[in-house]
Amino acid sequence: MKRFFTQAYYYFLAQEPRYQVAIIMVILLLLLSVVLIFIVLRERTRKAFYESRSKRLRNRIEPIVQEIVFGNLVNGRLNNAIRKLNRSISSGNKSINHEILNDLMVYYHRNIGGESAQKLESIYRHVNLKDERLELVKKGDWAVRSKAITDLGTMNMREALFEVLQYADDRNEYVRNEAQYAAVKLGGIKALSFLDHIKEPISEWQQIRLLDECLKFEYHLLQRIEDWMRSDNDSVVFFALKVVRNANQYQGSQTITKLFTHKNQRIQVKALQTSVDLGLKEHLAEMLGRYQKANTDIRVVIIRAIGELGDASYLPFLQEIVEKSKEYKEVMEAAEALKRLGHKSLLADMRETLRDNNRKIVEHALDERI
Amino acid sequence: MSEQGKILIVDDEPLIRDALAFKLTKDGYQVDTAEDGEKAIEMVEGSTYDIIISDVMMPFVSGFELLKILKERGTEAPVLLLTSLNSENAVLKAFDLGADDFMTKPFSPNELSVRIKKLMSKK
Repeated sequence: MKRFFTQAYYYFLAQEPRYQVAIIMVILLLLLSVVLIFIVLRERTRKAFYESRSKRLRNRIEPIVQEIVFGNLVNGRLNNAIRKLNRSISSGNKSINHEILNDLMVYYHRNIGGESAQKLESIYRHVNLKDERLELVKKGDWAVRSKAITDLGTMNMREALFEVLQYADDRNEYVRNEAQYAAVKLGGIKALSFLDHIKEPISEWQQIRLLDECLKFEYHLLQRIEDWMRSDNDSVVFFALKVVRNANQYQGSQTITKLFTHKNQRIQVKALQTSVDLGLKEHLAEMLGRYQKANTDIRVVIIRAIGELGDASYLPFLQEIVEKSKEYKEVMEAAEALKRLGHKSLLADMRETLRDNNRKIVEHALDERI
Repeated sequence: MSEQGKILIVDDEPLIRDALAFKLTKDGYQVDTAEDGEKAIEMVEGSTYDIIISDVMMPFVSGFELLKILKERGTEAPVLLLTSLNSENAVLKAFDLGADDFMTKPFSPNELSVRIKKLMSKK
């Protein structure tokens, strides 16, 4: 063997430098392949071991959980079943076993309701899974923390609400999102109190998730809604407007008009649209007051609002825009507003007296083919 | 055939399938299970069931398609659809296709038992 390596070494030295480089590269690539194959095999073995262990444990604990949840067990037999379950997850690697049982119970709870769900919640507490999740929320990295929070929410661990709320303004978006969602699930609409102080933004998707959850609860009068509309956090203002719009929180309607002059133009638009969606005709005067100082985009929304909520008293205002405005969007929207208010004939009569450009826009608005 | 009746459970989720089978066996029914619509069609052709409980979202043949096929073939067993789709459209489609009952997940196993009893009594 030694002789072979010596000969190979001398053979290598006898080669031209470019062949030496090629030989070194081939050897390095071969070594790298061996290392990669070793890593892949080791990972596969580890994964296969984990999966077979999970399967074995699941086969062992699934009938016990089913017996507890669906079996109408009482007192002694119920305690025996819980002890049996505890024994099953105590042998071997406890943390993996607990993780498997946790996932099984969360899965059942997602699909099963009623009395069976309450039993699941009870076992979850009995086998200390709740306390373990609370520990993970404090210690784990963001993925572990957000999953633990989601599990607590799914398993309806209401007593964990206070801890969950601590993470509603976490710097990590995933942890924050799951904490906010779980809080609303656990504490109902009152858990929205985190909106009073959060600094981090709430994404559009998260706002929809929260709103969807809020709409599942019975109607509550949200006293804090006006404070949320005054928040420095624009995403909170957006969310408050969504809640006002979708959960019929009319008590917040007066504050909506203050948002017509908000520094964020998107909030101005959302506030104007919310007034229209809620049919708040009394806001029209406020909108008109805002009109002169507004840019075209806001003006268009105001004109549209007049078309939706206005009456004949707004005809002169709309006519003036159709006659005098040089902005295509404004003229078009005013023409559409006149149509919506039922004054199509008035628009048709105005055509002849208009400037060329405005006349074309009005003809376009009157064209039924479009 | 058991005294209470024979039920076919069709669900691609083994945990839900097993849990339902456990619960309904406890209730005294004879229970068969199928992991997808195709297998369910084979089983319905080879045996008679008093009730068929099927998930809607399944690979290959969905619950709606299974329901349609069963009704076209004249299967008399009432079909109860079980799904996480809780939209009005899903409910309307289910009854339009001839479903006898419809439950959304998360469902109460006790409520399911009552509904099954009700369907059995209608037969």
